[in-house]
Amino acid sequence: MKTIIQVSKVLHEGAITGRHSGRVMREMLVTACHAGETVQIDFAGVDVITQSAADEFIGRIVRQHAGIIAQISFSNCVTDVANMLQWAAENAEAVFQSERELVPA
Amino acid sequence: MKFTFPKDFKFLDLLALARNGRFDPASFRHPLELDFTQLGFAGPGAMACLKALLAREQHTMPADASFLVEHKSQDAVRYLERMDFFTKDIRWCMKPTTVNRYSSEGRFLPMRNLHQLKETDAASLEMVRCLTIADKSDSTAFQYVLSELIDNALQHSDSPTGTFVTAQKYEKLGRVHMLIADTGIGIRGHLQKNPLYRQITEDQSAIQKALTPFVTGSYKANPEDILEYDNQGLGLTVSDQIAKRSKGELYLWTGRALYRSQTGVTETMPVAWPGTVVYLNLPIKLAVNPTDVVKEFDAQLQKPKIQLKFNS
Repeated sequence: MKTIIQVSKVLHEGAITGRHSGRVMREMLVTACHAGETVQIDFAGVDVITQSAADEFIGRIVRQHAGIIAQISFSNCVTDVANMLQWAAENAEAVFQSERELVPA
Repeated sequence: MKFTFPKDFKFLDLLALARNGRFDPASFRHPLELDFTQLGFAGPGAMACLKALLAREQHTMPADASFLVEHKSQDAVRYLERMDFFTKDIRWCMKPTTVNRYSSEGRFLPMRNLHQLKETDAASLEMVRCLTIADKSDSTAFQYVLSELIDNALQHSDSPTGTFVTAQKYEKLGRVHMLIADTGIGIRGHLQKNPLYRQITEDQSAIQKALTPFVTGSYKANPEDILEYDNQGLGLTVSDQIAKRSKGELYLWTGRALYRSQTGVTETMPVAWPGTVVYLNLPIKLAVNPTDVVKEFDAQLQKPKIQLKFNS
């Protein structure tokens, strides 16, 4: 079964900013994937996604739920959004490590 | 309630008693009478489980109860004395005549009741020292695994009486027995704190989920707090792998579910453990390098290139 998540309808915005937005998307996605579904994320109407939102969304999935990446596809992404998502996925661990280093022992 | 210790009382004996209904943690209530009359051999795992239940009962009902201790076997009771089983809340009827208090280092870890994370390192180090691990990095890797297990229990079990740990090396048998037990909310209760796993309502499913790498119930309350990773979700997975590859055994008892690494089967117990028990029975010389096992999972965590699928 295939589920389509339309980002602009879930978040009601064309610019996805902040970790909270990323978390909302991630939880929907992970829940659907754990139910065994393939999921298409439709970014129609979204022009921008910030690094923090992308990390909270896809970066965290790479770190914690890498097994479900194969179930996910993205559609209607403008170039900037696609690049940011891909960057967040590729640099998921590096971002996580650098953020940890900022915290005093 | 009167509990009569059998002649042999090791962790597997405790499980056998639980399976046939002769031992139920739920009925371990005051007034308690511990009958040591028959006891000939006591294992650290079983005794630490009882110790955890005693602590829970004392916490729930800190009555004027004292525990009646009868015994005939000086050897078994001397052993329990060395392992710090008897504390002020257990009243002796007969004390053993002599108890040799020699250094435990590298031989056993007396039963320790841990309450704070800062106690984890010392306890896990003492446990690792019971094994013969020549390589420093392997020793560190296994200590890391044990630390994760102890931290899990301390941070996430919500146990009001902390966590009980113990270890014992049996030189002639070439084995080491280790136990980490708490009387908290159990694995299911912990996972259900994470919205992703809230649908898990059975202990069996919770165990299977907990043995999956990187699964943790840790979940941040503040969405802007990016550092939720107090726990990697690797402790049980790596312990399971080390046990399997070393001809060892890992038992995991939480609620009514009991997992055994050798068979990979999770059975339903007739009685529930109120919290979580992790029991490891390993060869003194592990057949696998813990570093390699940890690295395998680290490699999964750090896959360098991930290509997302974009539909045009």
